[in-house]
Amino acid sequence: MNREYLNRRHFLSLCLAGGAMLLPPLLRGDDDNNGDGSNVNFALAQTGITNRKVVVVGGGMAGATVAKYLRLWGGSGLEVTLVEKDPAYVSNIMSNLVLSGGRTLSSLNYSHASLTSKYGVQVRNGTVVAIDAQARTLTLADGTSLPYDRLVLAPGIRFDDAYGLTQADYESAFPHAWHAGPQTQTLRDQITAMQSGDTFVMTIPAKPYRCPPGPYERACLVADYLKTSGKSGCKVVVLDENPAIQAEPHNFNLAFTQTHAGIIDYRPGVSGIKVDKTTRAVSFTQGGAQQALTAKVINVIPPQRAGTVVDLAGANNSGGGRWAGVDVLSYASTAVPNIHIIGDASATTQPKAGHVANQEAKVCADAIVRAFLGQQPDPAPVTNSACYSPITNSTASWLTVVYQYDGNSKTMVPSGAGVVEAASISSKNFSQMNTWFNTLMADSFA
Amino acid sequence: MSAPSCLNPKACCTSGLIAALLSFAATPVFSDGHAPALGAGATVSAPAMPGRLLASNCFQCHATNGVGGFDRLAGLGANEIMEEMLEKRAKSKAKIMSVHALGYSREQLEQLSAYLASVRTNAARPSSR
Repeated sequence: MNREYLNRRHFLSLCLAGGAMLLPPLLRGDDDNNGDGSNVNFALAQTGITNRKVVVVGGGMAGATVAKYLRLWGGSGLEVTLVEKDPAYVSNIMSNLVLSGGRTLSSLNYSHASLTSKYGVQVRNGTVVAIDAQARTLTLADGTSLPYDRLVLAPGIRFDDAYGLTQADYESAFPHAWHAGPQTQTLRDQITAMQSGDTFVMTIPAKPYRCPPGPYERACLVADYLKTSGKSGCKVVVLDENPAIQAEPHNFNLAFTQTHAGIIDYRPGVSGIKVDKTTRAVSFTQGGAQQALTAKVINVIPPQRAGTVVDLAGANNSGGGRWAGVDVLSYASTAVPNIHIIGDASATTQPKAGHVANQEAKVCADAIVRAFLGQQPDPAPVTNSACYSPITNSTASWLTVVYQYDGNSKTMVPSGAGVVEAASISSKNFSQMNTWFNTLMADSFA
Repeated sequence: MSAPSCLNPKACCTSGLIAALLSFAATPVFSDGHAPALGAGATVSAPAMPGRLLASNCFQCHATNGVGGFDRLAGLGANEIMEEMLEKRAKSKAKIMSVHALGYSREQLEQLSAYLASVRTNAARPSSR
């Protein structure tokens, strides 16, 4: 510590003596001043664990984090294989900014290379076709059989055919873009092709869905783009199956009624949504009255369920078969032994979001390491959510909450101040959002 | 220096600079308690301790093992971190760090502070600064 401070002090005095004002980032008021840790090496723990195998399916926020922390905390004798079908992960977080032109899609690519080079995770490109929970093996599409002591499923979500649209529609003229990738670019292109007076309609499914603030954030960013690109008289109509705004209600209400007043038309409590692909009419019921409107861009966010590998494992025992029931002390499946489910695919009281998935992954990794050492999971785990949401291309809001384990309900419950949102929408929040995002991604992928 | 440390660089670094300009004090330049960034290739290690899983809640915003992000926590003393968290508890609830400080029991804060203080680095600081 002392040497660190001496070095810094010595540096500053040199600067002052020479008249040079090449201030270090800290003094420029840059929030991203300490690095995100991606260029630092972390020593693997020495645990004495040997010849234990964990297979992780899915290389998103939850899967990448659990693979990293299993090695970091379990040591070199805990062999981790990560099975992922795509060559890189495209971040859903920040992908709404691609729609408004604030970011490029390519800036959201995260490779799994550091998991291998820094932590020794073996990455397998492939798709799971079978899981044998008795024999503790899974089979990939290429025929490879992978044995495991524990299997962690982190597949994220898949989307229902809904409102008259199918997967083929989502992939062509009606992108949901709720899984970042080609659909994000398609939707961006549709938005930029809008002309003055055109309407953008978005639908939000009944909860639970991925990223509670996400749809409201998207409405704001599309409105911001339409306004700042000189397309006058455009409308952003938001049809919400939920009875009210699901996250940051104060700030999003402010954004809808003030920041983007006259553009965003927010309609809660909508049901019976139906899309006519030919006429581009969206019909729905609100307040008992059947209504319809036509739109240049129709952005349906479909109802969601756990990725197929959860069904394959027989672990989709919650929410009418949509999600995986888990014990939140370890994220162990409540249906199938030696299988854990983390992230959006699991049914918990926590939001389906990347920051939370990262922490669920750490709780799961810790519990698996303890199990290999003959110990019980931490009986009082804590998790947290923190999430920034852009409101325009230069301002943002945030929400945060700390969850403690409640032994009576066996669920994670908000503690202390509860769920809190930013006191105001600000450009400072927008700047801090980038530090948050970069650091979160490095904690998960590097 | 006895001035409180600060987890928000924007709010505090100006006073740190002024302090440095006014005097080459025998105390750290940064009244805000920041530890300098780690250089590329630094190796960081930490023992398994009871506070590890709790402390990992900090890593999304302060980097793995607390080595960066909004503020580097690794290398700070357990008392410094504890003092900071207790101070955040007393402040406005509509700040992210206040919400987090209020979300843990005192015992949990002590455990996670002890863990962060146990993180060790065995490489040099960045040479370019």
